[in-house]
Amino acid sequence: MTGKPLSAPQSSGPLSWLLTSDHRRLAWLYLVAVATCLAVAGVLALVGRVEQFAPSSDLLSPVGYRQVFALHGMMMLWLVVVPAIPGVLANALLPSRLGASAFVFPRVNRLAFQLYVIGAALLVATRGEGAAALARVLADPARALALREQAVTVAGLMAVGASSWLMALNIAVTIGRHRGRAGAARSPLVWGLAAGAISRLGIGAVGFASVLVGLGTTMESVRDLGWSIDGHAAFVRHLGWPTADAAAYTLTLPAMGVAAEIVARHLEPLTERDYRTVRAVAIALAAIVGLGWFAYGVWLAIPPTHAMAAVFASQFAFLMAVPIGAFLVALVVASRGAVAPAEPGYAFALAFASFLLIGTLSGLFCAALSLGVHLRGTTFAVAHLHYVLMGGTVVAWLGGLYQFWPQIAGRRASATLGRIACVVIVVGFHLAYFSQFILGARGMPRGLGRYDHVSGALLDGLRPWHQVSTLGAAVLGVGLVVAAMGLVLGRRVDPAS
Amino acid sequence: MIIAASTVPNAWLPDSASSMAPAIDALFYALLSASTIAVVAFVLTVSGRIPRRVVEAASTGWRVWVGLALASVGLGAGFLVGLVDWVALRQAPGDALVVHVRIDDGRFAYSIPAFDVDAPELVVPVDTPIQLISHGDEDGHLWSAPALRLHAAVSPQARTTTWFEATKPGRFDVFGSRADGTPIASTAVGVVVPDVFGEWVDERAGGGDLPPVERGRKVFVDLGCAVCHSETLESGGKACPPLGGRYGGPTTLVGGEVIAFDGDYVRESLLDPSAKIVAGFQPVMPSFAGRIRPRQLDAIVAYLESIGDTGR
Repeated sequence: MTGKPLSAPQSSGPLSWLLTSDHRRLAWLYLVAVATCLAVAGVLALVGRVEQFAPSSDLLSPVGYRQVFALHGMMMLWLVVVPAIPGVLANALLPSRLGASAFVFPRVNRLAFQLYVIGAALLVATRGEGAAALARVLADPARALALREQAVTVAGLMAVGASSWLMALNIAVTIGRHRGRAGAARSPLVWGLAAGAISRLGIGAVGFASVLVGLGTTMESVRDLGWSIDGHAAFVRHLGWPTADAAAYTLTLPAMGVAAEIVARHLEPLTERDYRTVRAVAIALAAIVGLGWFAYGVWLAIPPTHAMAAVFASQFAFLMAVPIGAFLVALVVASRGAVAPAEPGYAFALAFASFLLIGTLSGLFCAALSLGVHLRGTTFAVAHLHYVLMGGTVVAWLGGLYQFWPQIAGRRASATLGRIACVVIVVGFHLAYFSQFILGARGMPRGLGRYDHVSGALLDGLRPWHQVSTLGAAVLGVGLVVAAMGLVLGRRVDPAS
Repeated sequence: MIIAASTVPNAWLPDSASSMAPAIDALFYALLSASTIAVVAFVLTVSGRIPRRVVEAASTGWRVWVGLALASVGLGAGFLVGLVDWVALRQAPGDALVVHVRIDDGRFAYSIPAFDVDAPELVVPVDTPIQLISHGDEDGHLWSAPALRLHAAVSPQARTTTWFEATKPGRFDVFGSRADGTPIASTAVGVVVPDVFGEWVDERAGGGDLPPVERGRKVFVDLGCAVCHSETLESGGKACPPLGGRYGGPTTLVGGEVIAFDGDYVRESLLDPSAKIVAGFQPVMPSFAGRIRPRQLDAIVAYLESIGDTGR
């Protein structure tokens, strides 16, 4: 049972769109919003990379550079990566996958989108100033009092956080209600969305409470009650490493589900062995959720500034590599060495697996306690998080769009453009971010727009890789545009085919 | 004076110049090797180069559990090695030379209390443990020396402590920036042999770049001379001979001998105070032998000469 494609007559007019609680229309609204934010944040990153092309470029002041990248990061994380798969793919695909006609809470769904829009407007309102201030607070909790001056940005974060939490609630309850239906228990997409939603519900609630407590203790009256700055600083620290690490896994879980679903579609009909693989995937996902919740629980007990917290964070990251590795092995084995994947959705799914692999491996470098001291403040950590979040989540999202475009839009995406887009994106991505691994290992700190204050051989070792990275970012941007074109220029087709 | 050696980066990591670098680098290359194997295996499997039956055989039954166990052991080893090295990194040897780093007027300033040195550049002796204590001002900053595998992100008004032992002489770049991203014109860390370090310290001890007379006054105060000796013509109630208006004139010692109050006399009094006692005073002055460097002695002489006519 599939939903009606959008070509069928529905109540029209802008107001009906703005107030809709129809999940299929919400998927479209999310798609337009996420794509717009991706474009804006991508341009911001390109501007920043142009600044870093030359060691003494003056395109941006140091403060301006920080603001550009802080806004880029905040937009990409909260306005693109967080809502992309739940907002677009879950809304478009989940009810029909479950054999249901709608979500359990369609009006909550609408509220989630409205909160997202409000949050997005608030986050970009200060044009990077708020984002940069927040980034500094995360790096250094003693500055948490500065949160009071960033009320707009903090309100925006609370809004998008609430939006994402409500979406997770809707997804979790809907899956729970319809889990008995045929196909649901064996769909990796359902498993991935369920795992992501459950993870998000727990960690999102704790994160939300942390922000409230952190804000509360910036108020005199609350401090008079005995909450010290150190106490609230520990809560604010919950939003940065290492606790953000635990939260980041919630973002890859839905992506893992999407990629596994795409691979499963290409292997149909599925054998009994394949179903065992799906079960292995489900166990791996559950392990990730469990470990993530356990880690978050530990952070409540150990102040993140304590030395033992660093030891535990390292241990947790190494442990987490096991289920993620198991998932990747299952995915790769299940792909059965299918040669020359012709379908762009499948190509994107394999690209996702390769990026997640490199992202997870590079995470081990950063998490190793001794090595991490040398690497964590450098662009090595930047490359790691991009491989996981961008190469992981965004690429899987693109794969899901291409694979299920007939269902979402009633069109078949252009396979030629999709394949070209995949190749260009993979090439551009590695150029842009593998060079950051090398730069970071050589000591390049993150967040520096100018690096001409080092001499001779060290500078010679950095400059060419900065140039490669800027070139790669441009190529990646082109690839994303081609991917969008491939979707827009698809041919109309009956979605049932 | 500072031996200029270029830091030549190898393929991944910068020049290795600290005692902990080999251990850190070894872990890096171990992880890199394991990662390369994993990525190659991934590509070969996905592209079909490995026959399907091999892949399926390797992923069934007991082999899965063996693979899982091996992976867990490898991961555990990686974690443990990182932990052990990290514990060593956090604990500076007891005899480490303490260096304080702070931001002074937009630039880094380094002070070595043991030698009374305060300089805008950091020079340390080779093969000596150095404890680096970074002090944050109201903004916080970053100080990192990749070749020494040092990375100190300092929060505002906080201190970050780290230690290192340089294993070879050279100049090693420092990345410095304020917390808001403004680069701090950074000097490099100069690592020199102990003799050269001694010369560097001598040039800078006790007042650094000040002219000799001002430097002398600073040493006079820092070493506590002003507690017992007045700088005017009168003793002002202090227990020891006044030093103003004395230089160049005669001084009567216990026992009646009259000597010239000159540079040699001043130096001898600081290093062996009981050799010549001024008439009417007790031999209570402590010796500064081993606590005062030649440059500081010269400075005090210059200062006393400057107040030799009329006192301060």
